[in-house]
Amino acid sequence: MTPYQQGNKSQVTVSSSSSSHPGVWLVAELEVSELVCASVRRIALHVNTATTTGKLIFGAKREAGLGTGEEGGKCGAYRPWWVCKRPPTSVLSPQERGHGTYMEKGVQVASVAGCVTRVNRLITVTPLRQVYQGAVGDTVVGRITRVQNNRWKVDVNSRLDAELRLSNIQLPGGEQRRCSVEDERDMRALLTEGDLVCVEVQKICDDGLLRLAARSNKFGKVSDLHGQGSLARYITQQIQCLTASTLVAVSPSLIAQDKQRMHDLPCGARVVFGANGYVYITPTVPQEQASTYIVNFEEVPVEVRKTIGRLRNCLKLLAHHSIMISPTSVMTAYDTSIELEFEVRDLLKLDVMQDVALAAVQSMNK
Amino acid sequence: MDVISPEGLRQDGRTPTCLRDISCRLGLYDRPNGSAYIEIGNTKVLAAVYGPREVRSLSKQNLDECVIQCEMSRIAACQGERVRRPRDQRTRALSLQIAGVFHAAIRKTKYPGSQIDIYVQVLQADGGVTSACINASALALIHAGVELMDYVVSCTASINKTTPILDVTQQESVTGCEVTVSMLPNKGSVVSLDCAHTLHLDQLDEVVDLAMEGCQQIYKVMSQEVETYLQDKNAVMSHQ
Repeated sequence: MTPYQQGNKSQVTVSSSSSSHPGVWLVAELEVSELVCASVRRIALHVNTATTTGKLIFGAKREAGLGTGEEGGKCGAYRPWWVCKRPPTSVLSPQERGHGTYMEKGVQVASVAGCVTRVNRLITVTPLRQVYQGAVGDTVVGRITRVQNNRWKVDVNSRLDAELRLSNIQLPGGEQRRCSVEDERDMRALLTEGDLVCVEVQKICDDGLLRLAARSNKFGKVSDLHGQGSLARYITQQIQCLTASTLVAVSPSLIAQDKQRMHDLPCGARVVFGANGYVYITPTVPQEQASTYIVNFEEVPVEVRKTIGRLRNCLKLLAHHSIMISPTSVMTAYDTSIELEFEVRDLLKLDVMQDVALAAVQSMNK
Repeated sequence: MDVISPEGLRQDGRTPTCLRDISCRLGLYDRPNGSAYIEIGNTKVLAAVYGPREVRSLSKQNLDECVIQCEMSRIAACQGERVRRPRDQRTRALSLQIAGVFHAAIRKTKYPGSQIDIYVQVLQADGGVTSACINASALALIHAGVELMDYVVSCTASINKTTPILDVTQQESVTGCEVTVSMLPNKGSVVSLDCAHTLHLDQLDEVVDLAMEGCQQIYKVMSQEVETYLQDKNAVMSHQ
């Protein structure tokens, strides 16, 4: 038993396993009385004002300041727990059973391994790695997997392939009109299997299917010749250096929340941080070319291609060390790797990856 | 040669109720959603989980719950004798058995219309291959963040004359039976029970009890590993 004080008001007792329940599955047990609940709520409010995340992570050590905020960078700031348990007497309304938990005989049990988050009475468990869950308004990067009647199927790293309807994209030339039979026939000319698109989540259907839209100018096809894009089939090895762009897939939970998803980084590359964990890196292009269906064949200089390679490796090393991916962290890692004078190819070595990741975290904490 | 020496020890120096050394690791690969490796004595198994993702063949799609597929294979040099076919009828049967175990553990209604693929590869086989495969896949599923009712833990046991023995090696299982028990350790429920070779019905109870005890021990090792993995990763991740 490790009891710890909460602002001298009441105690939350945390035990390593419960004797009443023989299952060791329950790692943490919270004995929450009404009094404690009240103070917990107060702490939650306090934490809400103190941090931007607004999460109260239970089981945080007192010294670590409940785990979020300014002490966030310290190791072991909050401890992940398998499970939280409630006394069987407390009645839970459906909305109190958060994601990653299920009820069994009046006890809330975690069904995934991750950190326990508690906001007031809602307890959720978030795993470290997960497929993309989807949220309306998210900008995502996806790859076309199938062309169907009036719609494309897009792989967006979620549990079902998302759907992009012909009526939900901007037709070439940006004209606003109804889609005709010809448009339907020429769907494959616009987007075909293997093409990369940058789209927005418009709606989440009842069965969890994501419906996508690319109605505004900033969304649309992104040229991808290194992948299995339509044109890539016709392009020989020699002219592959014409465009240099790459897609990196990381866990969606590592992508930091951000209003803006497309960033022109100062190092001369444009990066799209898809909320689904797909990060797409291209050379910076003029705005008007951003969403055409035509692939740009201008030659990309070697320096830009090296920059893109370095960015890709930096993204990989951040993901490997579970560091949140945001424009800041990517640029920090990028600058650090240049400061430490590592070649682009060196960044693939495990020890170099660790050095750069640690140095980047340190300089971000400053 | 006797399985249990007059001193009461087995050939590798274990007592009849002692497990072999277990070590496991989570997160070996980037590309699959989850991956894990487990070593039980000389039995070494790799597992990778893809999904939940879009169903590959539409005829199998189930709109109420997810489809679970398992494919097990052995590398050619995993046994004393060279394996000619990495996927024969026996591994196909074992694949079905492993998939069946996870039908009981995965919260399938959470993923309607999706598919979860489990790929297991046996690197070295020295008794208890099925149980090692199940343990490795359970860890890989946990790593992938798939919603489970509980851990799934599996262990083998056998009987030598009248002494039940835990966690049998290849050599020990040649002379006797090999009972594989898979269970949800916190619910205490057995999800699969498999007996290779014959065993007297009167002896079944004590063998199964011993295997279930072994399961609890393996579970402790596995949950310890998951916890250390989470702590390692989470410490860095808390940097926002």
